[in-house]
Amino acid sequence: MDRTIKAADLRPGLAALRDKRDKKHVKKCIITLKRIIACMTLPNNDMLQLFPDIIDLLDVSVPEIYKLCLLYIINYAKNEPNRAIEALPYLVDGTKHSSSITRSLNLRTISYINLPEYTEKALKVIPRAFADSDPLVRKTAALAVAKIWDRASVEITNSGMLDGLNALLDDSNITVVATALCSLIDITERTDGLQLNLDYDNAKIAVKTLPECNEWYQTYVLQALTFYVPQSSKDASSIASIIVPRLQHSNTGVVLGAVRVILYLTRYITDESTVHSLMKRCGSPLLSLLSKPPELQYVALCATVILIEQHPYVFNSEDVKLFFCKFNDPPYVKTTKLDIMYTLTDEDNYQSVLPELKEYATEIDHEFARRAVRAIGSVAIRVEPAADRCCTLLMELVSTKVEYIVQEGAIAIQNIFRRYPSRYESTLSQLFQDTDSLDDPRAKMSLIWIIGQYADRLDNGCDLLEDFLFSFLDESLEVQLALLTATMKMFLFRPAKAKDLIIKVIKWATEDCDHPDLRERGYMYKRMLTGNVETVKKIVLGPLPVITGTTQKFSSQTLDDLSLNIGMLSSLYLKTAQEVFAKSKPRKVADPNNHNTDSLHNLTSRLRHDSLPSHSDDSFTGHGSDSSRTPHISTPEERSNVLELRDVLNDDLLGLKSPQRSDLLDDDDDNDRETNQHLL
Amino acid sequence: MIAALFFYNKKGELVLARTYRDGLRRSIAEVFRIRVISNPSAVPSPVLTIGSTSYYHITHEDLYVVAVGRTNAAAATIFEFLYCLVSQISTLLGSFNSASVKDNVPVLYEFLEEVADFGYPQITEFAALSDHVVLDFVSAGPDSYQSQSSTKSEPVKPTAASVSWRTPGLKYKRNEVFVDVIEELNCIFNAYGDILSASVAGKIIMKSSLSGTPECKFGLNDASLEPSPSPKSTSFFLEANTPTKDIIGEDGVTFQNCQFHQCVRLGRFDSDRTISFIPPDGEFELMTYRAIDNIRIPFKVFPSLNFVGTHKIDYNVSLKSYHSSLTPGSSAAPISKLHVQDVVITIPTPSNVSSVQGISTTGGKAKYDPSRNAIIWKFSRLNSTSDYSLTASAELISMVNRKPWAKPPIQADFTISMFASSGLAVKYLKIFEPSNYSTVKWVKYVTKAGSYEIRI
Repeated sequence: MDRTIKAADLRPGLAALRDKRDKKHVKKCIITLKRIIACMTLPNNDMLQLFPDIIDLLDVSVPEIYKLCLLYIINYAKNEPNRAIEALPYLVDGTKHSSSITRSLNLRTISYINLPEYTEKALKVIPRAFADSDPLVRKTAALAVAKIWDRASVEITNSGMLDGLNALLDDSNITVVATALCSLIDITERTDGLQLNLDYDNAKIAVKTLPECNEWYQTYVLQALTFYVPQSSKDASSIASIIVPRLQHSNTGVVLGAVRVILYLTRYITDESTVHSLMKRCGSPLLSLLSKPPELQYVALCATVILIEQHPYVFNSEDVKLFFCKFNDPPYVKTTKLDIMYTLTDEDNYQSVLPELKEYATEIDHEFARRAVRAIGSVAIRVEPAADRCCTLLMELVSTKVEYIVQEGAIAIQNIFRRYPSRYESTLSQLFQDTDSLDDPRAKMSLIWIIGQYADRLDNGCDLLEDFLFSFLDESLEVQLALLTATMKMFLFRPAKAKDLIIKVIKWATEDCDHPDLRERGYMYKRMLTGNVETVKKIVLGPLPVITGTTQKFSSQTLDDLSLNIGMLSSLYLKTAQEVFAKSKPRKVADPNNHNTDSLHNLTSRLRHDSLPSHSDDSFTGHGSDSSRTPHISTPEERSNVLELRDVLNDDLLGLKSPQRSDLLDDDDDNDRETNQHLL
Repeated sequence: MIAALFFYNKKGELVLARTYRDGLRRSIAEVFRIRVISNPSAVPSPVLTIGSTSYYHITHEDLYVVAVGRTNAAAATIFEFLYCLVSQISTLLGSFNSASVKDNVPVLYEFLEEVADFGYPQITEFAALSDHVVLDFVSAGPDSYQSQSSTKSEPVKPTAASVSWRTPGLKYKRNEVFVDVIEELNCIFNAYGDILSASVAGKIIMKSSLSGTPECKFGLNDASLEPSPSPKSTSFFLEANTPTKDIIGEDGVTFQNCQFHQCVRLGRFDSDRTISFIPPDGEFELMTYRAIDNIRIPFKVFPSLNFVGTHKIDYNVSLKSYHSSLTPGSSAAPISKLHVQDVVITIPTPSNVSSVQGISTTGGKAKYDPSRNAIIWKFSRLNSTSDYSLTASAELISMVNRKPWAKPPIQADFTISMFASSGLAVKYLKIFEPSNYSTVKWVKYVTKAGSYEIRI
């Protein structure tokens, strides 16, 4: 592509068209036009000078030339509005051309260009096109309404064009129907006062068109079906069963669209076994999507994560093997697969999963290896028969002395001890041999907790504690609190040895530290030391609540929103749509008992989201998240901060809180665990 | 849905841009370049979202294909669309890279305009759009669309027709159908030869040159069906590529799942498992399926690495051909003659290898390839009854900063013709057309290695 082509050089080529003597005049003109188009991608706007010449060519009846001129005009209309307006009469004439392709092309161009004169003409031309004999033109007209909506919503509503668009839903040609649905969804999603509703008959018609449409139209129809509110469980299940064959389609968008609709409809189906069998059908197609390219795999995997949160029976035990990571998978795919593997581990398949996790823990990617170790720990908590094996594995991994593995391993082992208090004491001495120098505060906290908890079983507990106490004043708050508690426990078990230690630590805590929590606890222990030993023992060494590791990953509201957005962008972040796009319209899933029987043909403005009453016990009246909850993430830095925040929260991957405060306070805090939201 | 489509080359220059919606600043193209193209290694996700703008990106050869969205759009559909664009444009131009794009800017602009109206994908098959796209293009090779369409007659406007994938009124002198069953065997083994996971990802590609608008019915040995009757109507030639009895599984094949091309009538499949469709002209992927039971594995590799201090690794890798089923509880018959060809075993070595000495094998040829950090062991044909082994010794340079070796798995690559690892067999392919012509049908089975990993 020559960068030195000047506009003036190309002018003769355009003018050559008029020279009828030259037999190849048309070809020359076309070649020149192509060069002009090719130069459009250059940043300089040199080609603008040729606008008048281009306008001159518009009355030529050679389709290639016309098309190329239109491409030019579309690109430069903004820069030269006056010139562009000169082209308008030709375009309007073109909408009356005998060839439907030309009519459609002109209609499309008129509605695309964002100039007031064009919009005005579009408002006139579109309603005419609704009645066109060729379905192609009607289809273009349907989308044209959505195109000019932003610029002329008032005129459109007042002129009744929306009703015209609605009428297209009864069209004989299915692509017109599908495009009209697409256009309506686009308009209503952008406008607060409008809401798309389908009733049963509309939904049935829409569903019947599915097999005949091509894949993209199928996705639009499926999206529209999520706006259908079933009036009865029977209606919902009949529509759902017609959609099920779509799960066999090769296009990921169709499959996930079908999963989304079926999941949505199951909210209205009362029969448990129907729901069960429908959801089971969704499992297998998701597994097949794993052979697609990595980006599509990722979308399918995020959909799987959401699905198994609500319906864990979708996959069988042995399916977990299909989620094993391949060496070349990109990191985002591997992380999500690991998470799914963890969720699907149960007592039947842990034997094959654990060796796999061990492999991952020895991988080069630090982050991934850490997650794998965490997962091993969490499997031990959740699947009791696996605990022995997990513990052995973790001890092996810790003995490799790889720094980050040791840290994660320490935390995981502490959780195991917390869950199964007296089982693995034999491993204690080995553990402390392998973990001599640690940096990560959480790892330190874990080991300190273990020392405190098993102070009576460890022979060298005091020495270990002294090592940690060496740097007491430099530690972070959590570590200091843990040390204080552990030393207290040590004192209670071995008063003679730990006496000096406890006095030293309490002195530090109360006098040398600033933080009120630490000081308060220090004072409390100081006073307790003068009290009755038995009572003190009961308080400090009291039984701990059992942790289970089955906390919910998402709050029910988030899960609700996520299931409505399977296959959409917000599901990739595993957050609600509001959190990802603050401007997006909140989705309210309507309670059928409250359903307004407006059909699709009645799209007058209604402020629906305000008028829905709140049913606190209804699981499917999803209140849209408040926009005050999470601030709109606007700058790149903020977004990267959010991502880092996610990573930090990740550490508590499965809702296991490391005991950060003393045991005394734990009884109350454990209630908080249930509401901890964990992001991936 | 899609606000704009951008094509960048690897340097970050915008090669082609098409906006579908208003309100986009030119600078959004810059943002992508800075965030993704400049540091390709730190890509946390295939979608980059900054503020309310999201960039969905895939790469193909030396191009980045990016879709920009400003709403909570259907990510799955957008990625499918991007891949569809890539394949359509590749077929159209013969190749899809920055050079071919540069040569064909006008026709690509036209194509992008027709393919997605207002950012919503419409019809993406070029065959259906050929009437809309009036410009011709510079094709890069003999495989491009122009050379293939020489036998096509004048296409009639399909525009808003429901069978958008086939133009009516086609005529061929010789009506032929080629069915290729291509299976990819994906296995993960551990160092002791145990199978950690094995699955077959298969696809059936059909290449047809049929006149008119034929209705086809396709029958497989699907285990969930009762045994189907033998084919009656049109003749069914299976030339030299017939799978012999001892290769087909005794029972049928149990599919875990099938995904079909949009031309297949899914409703009928759901009700009685019949695959009926009107095929598009030329080559297309009819269905993809997955199987995990009764998979036949051609061979196993047993690696044994001995790390002598930090300066030497002794490799001892043995390959055992194995011809009966290995998945437990299967009933498939053992195979006697498998044609395993073009076997390439890639045995990885650390990057700090100075030389590899003493490579000796009992079969095949082995060579150390420093550029790929691996010992490549090749066989042109595997004898099904013998076992082979390779020994080698790799000398390592001691390095100051020794990063631990990632120990990538041993990859095996092979092709087995006339064999379907899952045991699938095409039972019949019936073609109904009003003019009732006779058709020549060919079936071919190939099993290739997908991701065949043996962990060290």
